[in-house]
Amino acid sequence: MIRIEDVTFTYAGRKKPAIRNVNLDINRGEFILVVGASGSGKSTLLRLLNGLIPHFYEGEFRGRVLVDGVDTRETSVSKLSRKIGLVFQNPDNQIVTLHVKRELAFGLENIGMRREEIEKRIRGIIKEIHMERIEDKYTDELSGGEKQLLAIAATLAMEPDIIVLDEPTSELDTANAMRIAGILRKVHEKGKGVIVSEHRLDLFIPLADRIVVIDDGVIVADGPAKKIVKEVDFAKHRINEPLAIRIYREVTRRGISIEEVPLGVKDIIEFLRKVRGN
Amino acid sequence: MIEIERVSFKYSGSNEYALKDLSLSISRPSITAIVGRNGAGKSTLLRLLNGLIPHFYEGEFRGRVLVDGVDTREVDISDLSRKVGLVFQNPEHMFFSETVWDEVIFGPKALGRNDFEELGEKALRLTGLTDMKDYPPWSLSGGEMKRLSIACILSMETDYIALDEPTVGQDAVSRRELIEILRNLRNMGKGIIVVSHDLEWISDLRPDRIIVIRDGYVFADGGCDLLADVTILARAGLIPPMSAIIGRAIGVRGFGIDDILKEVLG
Amino acid sequence: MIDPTRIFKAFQISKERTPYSSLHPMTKFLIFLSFLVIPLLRDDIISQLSIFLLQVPIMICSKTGKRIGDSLKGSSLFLIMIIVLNYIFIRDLLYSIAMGLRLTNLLVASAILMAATNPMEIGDILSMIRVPYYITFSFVIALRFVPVLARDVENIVAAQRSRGMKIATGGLLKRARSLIPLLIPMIIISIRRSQQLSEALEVRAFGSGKRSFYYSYRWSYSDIIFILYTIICWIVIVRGYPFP
Repeated sequence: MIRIEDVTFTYAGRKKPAIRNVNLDINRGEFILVVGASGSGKSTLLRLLNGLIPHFYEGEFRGRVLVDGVDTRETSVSKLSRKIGLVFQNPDNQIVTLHVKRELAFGLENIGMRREEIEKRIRGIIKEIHMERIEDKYTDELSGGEKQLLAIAATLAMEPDIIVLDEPTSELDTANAMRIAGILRKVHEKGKGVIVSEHRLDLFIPLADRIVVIDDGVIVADGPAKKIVKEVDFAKHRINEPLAIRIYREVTRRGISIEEVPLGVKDIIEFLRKVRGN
Repeated sequence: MIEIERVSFKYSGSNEYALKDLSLSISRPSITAIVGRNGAGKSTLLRLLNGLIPHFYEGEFRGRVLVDGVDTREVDISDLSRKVGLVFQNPEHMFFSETVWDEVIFGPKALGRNDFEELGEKALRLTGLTDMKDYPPWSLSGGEMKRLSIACILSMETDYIALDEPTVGQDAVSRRELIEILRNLRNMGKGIIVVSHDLEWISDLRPDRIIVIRDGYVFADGGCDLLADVTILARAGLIPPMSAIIGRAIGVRGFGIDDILKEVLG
Repeated sequence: MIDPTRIFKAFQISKERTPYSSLHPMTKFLIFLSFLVIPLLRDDIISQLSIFLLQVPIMICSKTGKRIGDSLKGSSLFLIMIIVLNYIFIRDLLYSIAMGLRLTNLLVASAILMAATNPMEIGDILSMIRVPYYITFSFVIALRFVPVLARDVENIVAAQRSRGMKIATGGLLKRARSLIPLLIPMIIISIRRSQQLSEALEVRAFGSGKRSFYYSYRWSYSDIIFILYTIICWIVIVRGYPFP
């Protein structure tokens, strides 16, 4: 659905490109986890997907990005936003209205949707995300986690095919991060594409179909989650090693060979029980 | 020594007490981690340490806080800043100078120290920023900015340094660097107090003491093994670190994934 | 100096349900406009007093009596000044008092709207009277971010004071310079917020074409009552009924 063809982008005023010769094919319904150190180009990569680069950010853009066959340079961010949603890191700086329901309606108002249709969408999203508890609140009464939840809900209300999130949990605590991970899993199960860049790998790797590793502007690995976890040296790319990798490394170091790397907590527990049994 | 004696505090305009009859002493050298869920009172507790409460944040204050024997109600924030340094979560709330160097010497100069150059050099060295001396603060990476915010407080040569959620938004390398810096500071004799909700990072930090705050009072006070105590953490509304959950499930007493693996694998 | 908490409170939405609060925003706007214009049509004491008395039921219905009383007390010095100035130039005591009362009436009308109306409704009123959306939206966004920026200011001052910063006393220039550690972070953070905000607006298709409006209000019997009341007020004052 999205094809990134040999893209190199340098922000205006900088000498070094933020991303170089990036090639990526994204299909519908995939859950892709993008990992990389700070400054590695993750945010830049994500902004290619909905046209913010090159429309919103100035700089030197080479290569092209096709969304459903259409070159992003030839359409607008607004049009692309109906297919590809984007949620940002800071909960406050993406909430623009004073009331939760109005926030949910905001994007739909912008595209001129009829009131009855908006009402239907809002009802739907409140149910889907279990937001009943906050649906009548004013936005400044919400906690950081609730605001981020609202931002995701407001984006989903526009019913994009793919939702992209740029470090959505980095300013939240563990409980809220888990809640958001749970919502993204649900969204993915319903058939939507999810592309998320994150540092909290323990939480997100078990949800991902595919992991893309980026280092210094270049994609250094791209494949199924279990394969990447086995084969890629995360520490070398300055990425937080999830427990799964630490365990895998220790275990193989002692000569115990394992087929599959246990990813989630349950798998790890089961795996360690088996190893202990031996 | 910092002594918090039966402090209760209610922010003006709020109906609830943020701190309820809380007592705590912290001596040095040490690394003390203060954990608790959002709203438990951790940040409020930090603000007691250098006098922001009661001098800056208005409200009802009961009890007293002694810093090396001095009651914080009787001294100004700028005087208490000589003893207790507070590193805030967002470095961008601090930076206003043209260079890293100007930023780092601002604190000691404001305190009237003539040896501010020496203090500045030392602080930059301890945080690994000596090479970035002439750069503008905003050209630094996220991790470097975090280290600079610590350097700015370090140069004030306080006995105690308190940090509010230092790992939020930081990547793997920065988190490891922070642990090293804090350990060095403790070895230099300082009292380090860290407020964090990031129990995985605290596991790696291995503080000398962990204090669990719940609803404005001290719920638990112990060593690192508290992190493996899933029951206590759950009652305080905290999600235990993954290693603790795994350890409990397979019946291993270790804390931190390395201990667990050692027990399981031998 | 600046008290962020008080700025906070000034923008807090009152959540009380009163007969006035559930009115259609257009009704509230009509009442407001009426009581801005009516006092200007008459300049005698009896009319102004009557106008004041006619606003009392509205104050009661919106439960704003106490708050308005407090702010009138606060502006009493100003009102007395107006009366005195008028007297000095016109030498007619009754007229001067009438001018003071007229100003009071205007303040009361504004205060009722501000104190008992939700800021979102004010934004909606602007849309209803066909103010261009980008203006209404700026108003709403400003309201949305005032508490956020107030908190930023609080955090910045706390951070800098923890570094030993003190506001310098003495000459204006010296004091201004000592505020730089507060102003620069404030500016930078505000710019960053607005940058991120514009990105967020882009990805929600803002400005892409004709907008629809989700929020709708319902007319009710209360609206009819209040509008009739306002019309009666017009008749009583303008036609001087029952005072010839």
